[in-house]
Amino acid sequence: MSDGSKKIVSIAEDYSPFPAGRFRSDGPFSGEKFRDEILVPALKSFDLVEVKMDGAFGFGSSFLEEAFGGLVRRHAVSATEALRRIRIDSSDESLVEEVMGYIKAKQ
Amino acid sequence: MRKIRVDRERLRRLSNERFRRRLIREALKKRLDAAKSEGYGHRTAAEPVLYAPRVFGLLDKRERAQLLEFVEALRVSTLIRKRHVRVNFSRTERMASCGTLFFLSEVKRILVNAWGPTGCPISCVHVLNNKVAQVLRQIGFDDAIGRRSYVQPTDADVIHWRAVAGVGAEGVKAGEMVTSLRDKLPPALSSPMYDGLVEAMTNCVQHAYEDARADGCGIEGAGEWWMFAQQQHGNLTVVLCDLGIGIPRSLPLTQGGGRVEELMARIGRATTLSHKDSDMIGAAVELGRSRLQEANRGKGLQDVLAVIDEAGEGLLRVYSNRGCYSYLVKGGSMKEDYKDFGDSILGTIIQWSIPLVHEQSNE
Repeated sequence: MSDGSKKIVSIAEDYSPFPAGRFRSDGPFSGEKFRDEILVPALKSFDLVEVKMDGAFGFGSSFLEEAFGGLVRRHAVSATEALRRIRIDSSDESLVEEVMGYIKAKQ
Repeated sequence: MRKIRVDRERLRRLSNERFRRRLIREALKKRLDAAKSEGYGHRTAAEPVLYAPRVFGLLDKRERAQLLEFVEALRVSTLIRKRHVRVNFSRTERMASCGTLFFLSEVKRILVNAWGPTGCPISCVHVLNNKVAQVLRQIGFDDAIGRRSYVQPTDADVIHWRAVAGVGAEGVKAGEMVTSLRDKLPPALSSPMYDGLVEAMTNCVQHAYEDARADGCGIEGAGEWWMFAQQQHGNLTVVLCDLGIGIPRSLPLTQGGGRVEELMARIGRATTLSHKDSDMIGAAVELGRSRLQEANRGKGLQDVLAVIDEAGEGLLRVYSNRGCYSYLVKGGSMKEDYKDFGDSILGTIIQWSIPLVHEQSNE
C-alpha cells in the first residue's frame, strides 16, 4: 500500500553501519534481512524510497546483490518499477551504478 | 654386639629432609588432583613431541612441505588419536604471515574440537628464538594453550600483528579491523578493504564448508575464519583463512561443471582434462570479474580483487588446497601467476599486501 510520499532509509542509521553477507544465515546484518525488513516494507507504504548509503563501512557485492537484485528476483517488483521507485543516494557514484546494475540485470 | 652411634644432628636433618620431601609430594599430589578435577593432567613421558619447522611459510615448496607435515601430525595426534602433544619450537626461526595464520587456525580448530577430559591437547616447549616467542605471544597462541610466557612483544615488526577469529559475515569485526588500520591505510582503501573482508567472510559461510574437509577428522565447519593484520617492511598485510574444502572443490559445486569450463576458456586454461588447483582459483577470480547475469553467487572475489585495483599497487595471493594464484599490480602493470604444489592446505588463505612504502611483500 502506497501513501504517495517518500521514505528516506539510511542503511547506517536505520539498519547497521556494518552491513555484510547475503543471506540471514551469513551474518546478523545481511542483504536478505535488509531487503525483507527495511526495503520491502518501505516500498509497500511509500511511492518513492531513497536509500542513503553513506555512513556505512562498506558494502560487499553479496549484500547489494541480494538486497536490490534479490528484490526483483524474489519479490513481485519488476526491475522497471524498482528503478522508478528506488533512489540511491551516495557520495560514491560507482556504488549507485553498481546497485542499479544489480536491478537492471534482472530485467 | 656393635654399638650403633646415633648422630642426632644428622638424624634431625634427615628427618627434616624426609618431612620436606613428604610435604612436597603431598603438595604436588594436591595440585595434580586439583588440575585433574579442572580437566588437566594425564600427561605422560610417552606423549609425542612434534618439532615445529624452521620457517612457517607456504610459498616456498620445501618450507610449505615441512609446515604441512607438521600441522598434519599435530592434527592427527590431537583430533584422531586423541593424544596430548608437546610442540618443540627450538628449530623455529621465522614465522611468515600466511604460514603462521594457517598454523594458528589449525591450532584454534584443534582446541575447539579436542579439548576434552584430558584438558588442553597442546603444550609448547623450547621457544628459543626471541622473535618467535614474541610472535607466539602477540598472536594469542600462548593464551590459547594456557602457556605462561615471560616474553613481552616489543619489536616493531611484531607488535602490529593482530589476530581475529569469527564465524560468517561479521561486519563488526571487519569494521574494527579496518578502523585499527585506518592510520596505515589510504582513506580511499578503507571501504574496499571492508568490502573485501566481508565478502571473504561471506564466502566462508556460503561455500567453504559445503562438504567435509578431506582431513579425516570428521569435523563439520560452520563458516569459521581466522584473520591476521600485520605491518612489516613497509607493507600492510591482511590475511584471512578458512579450513574448508577449498575453491577447487567448491567452485564446481556452486557453478556447475559447464560454467567452470567456460571460465577456464576465458582465462586460457581449458587445455587439460583435469584442471590444476591454481586454474580453479583463477577461474573463481574470473567469475568475480564477469558480468554474467545468472551468476548471483560466487562473485565475492570481485571485491577481494578490488582492494588491489583501488590501491593501484599491491599483491593479492590466494592459496587454496594445492594451488596458489597471485595478482600483482606494480608500476602501472598487472601480472598474474599460477603455482601448484604437491600438498594441500585443505582450505583457503587470502592475502592482501599493500605497500605503504615501495617494498616487496615478506612472503
